Amino acid sequence: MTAFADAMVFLVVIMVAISVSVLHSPTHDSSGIGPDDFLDVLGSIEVKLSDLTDVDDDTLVYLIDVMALSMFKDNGVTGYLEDILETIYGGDGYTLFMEFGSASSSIGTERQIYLAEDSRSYPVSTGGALYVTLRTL
Amino acid sequence: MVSMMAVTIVIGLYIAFVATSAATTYAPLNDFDPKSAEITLGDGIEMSESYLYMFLATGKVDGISVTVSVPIFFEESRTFTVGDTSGPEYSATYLLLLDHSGGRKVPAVAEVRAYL
Repeated sequence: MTAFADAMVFLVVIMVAISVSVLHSPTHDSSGIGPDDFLDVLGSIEVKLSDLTDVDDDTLVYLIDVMALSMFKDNGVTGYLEDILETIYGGDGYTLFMEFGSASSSIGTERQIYLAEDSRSYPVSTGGALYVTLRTL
Repeated sequence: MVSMMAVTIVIGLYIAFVATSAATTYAPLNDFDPKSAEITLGDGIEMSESYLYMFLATGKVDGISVTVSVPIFFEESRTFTVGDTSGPEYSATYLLLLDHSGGRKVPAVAEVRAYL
């Protein structure tokens, strides 16, 4: 009987401790943006060509087209994508892989393990398709 | 034997209680719709705070703040806050596609913090 009472007292103390720590946790974060959410938006982003390249042309273009162009001519799209992805996933929390024809490139930190991954193929206005894979922690 | 059964039952009930309470407590933003906040881009980042006040009126949270970042197009993010922001907080991040000048459609990251 004494052992039972001791066990119950111990349980009550543990329960109170867990309740306090769980219910009054100062922060709880939930990033609801998965790779699929990002890739859904990626295909609809439109910018002016002059926003991300040194071409003096204010024509509206899909970001996908500028990403495909970046495979052959370096432009500001890599920095732009890094800014967006770092805002969402943090500096080390993602890898974005792009493939267009025989050319490919990636940004972010390569890791062995990821928690989520999604891929999409986007048509490029000049022909062909840009294949994009996003892996996140 | 009876003691062991009693302890097991109590632990089981308690775990169920904590799991239910935690799930309820930490989902204050389930009904939050960032699109209803009407975030717009012009000379700066703007938002209709009326939706935040309406969300506050549901009584699920004591305060709420929304920090909006638009990479490259706006160097500074902007935060909109209503209510009491001193309590424990729960945050969620949303990705939005917003209309910008010249017909651009640019991504914006909205970090929403609910204060309980």
